[in-house]
Amino acid sequence: MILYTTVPQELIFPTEASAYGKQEIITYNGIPMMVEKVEEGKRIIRILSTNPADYMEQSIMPGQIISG
Amino acid sequence: MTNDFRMEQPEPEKEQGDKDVKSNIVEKIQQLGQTNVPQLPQDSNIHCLTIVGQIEGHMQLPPQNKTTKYEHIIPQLVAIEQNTKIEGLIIILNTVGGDVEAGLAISEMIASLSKPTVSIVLGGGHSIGVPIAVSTDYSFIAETATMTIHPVRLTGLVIGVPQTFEYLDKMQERVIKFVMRHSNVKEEVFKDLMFAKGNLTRDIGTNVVGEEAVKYGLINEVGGIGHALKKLNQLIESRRANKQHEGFIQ
Repeated sequence: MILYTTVPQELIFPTEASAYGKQEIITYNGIPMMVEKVEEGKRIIRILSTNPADYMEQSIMPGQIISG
Repeated sequence: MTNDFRMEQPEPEKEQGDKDVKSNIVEKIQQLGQTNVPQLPQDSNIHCLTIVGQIEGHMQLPPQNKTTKYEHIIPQLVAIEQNTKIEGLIIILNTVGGDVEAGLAISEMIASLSKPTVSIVLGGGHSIGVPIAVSTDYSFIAETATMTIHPVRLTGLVIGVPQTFEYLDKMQERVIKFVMRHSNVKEEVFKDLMFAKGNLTRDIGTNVVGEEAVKYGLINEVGGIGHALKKLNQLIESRRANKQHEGFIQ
């Protein structure tokens, strides 16, 4: 199926409400980050800090699972 | 007598230590595909703001979209302005654009920072990324990076057509005015680029690449991270010198 339309994709295929709940922005050790809930805890998706040193922090590399 | 406050620490069992190191490395490879990252001193005097993906405004985009949310960029900018240890800000753009009002909000915030700011467009700084790129004191564009300049559009349902047109026109005027104020591009040139036909397959507008953006006066210079940091350090130095000068007068 090909849709030729200017209507945005989100309007035609709305995302399930549950998908929005999975990701959240938290502050961990003073560093803002986007995390995804997984069984073991929270998986880091993205670091949102402006401090370049936070991206070098070994304990919070994206992909890592943090608790709490 | 010498003061010795060291705690007596038991020697760790060597075997256990080796095992730990090994599993640690394996873990790191699984996470990032690399084992070692360079360390920076904790307090960097330059902070870096990355504007990636879509600029998200009033509508929350589905989680598979990579977005930059203005509600968390703005508090960060406030923190950067307040923190005396931070002396400069570098803005890295690779964005497809997004919400006009959110983009303008971020641009205005960056433009009004009292600290030196430098931006680099890497990859793309399209649409509402243009005002963000020009909002800094000095802007760079990578040689291969592009910027699409096009009129403001509205997707979704449109009810009152004449009113909508007028509203869009006003919104566009705000974008144009901002870009005029913060870059060297002439209004006629910018509007010509914005309404050019035949350059983009499904839209009116122009896609300017690296050198061209500099030629039109939109961006200050072609360059990368090295150039940008050098420029930022220069701006920081001259700000420090100015401050000292003012100090002497008082």
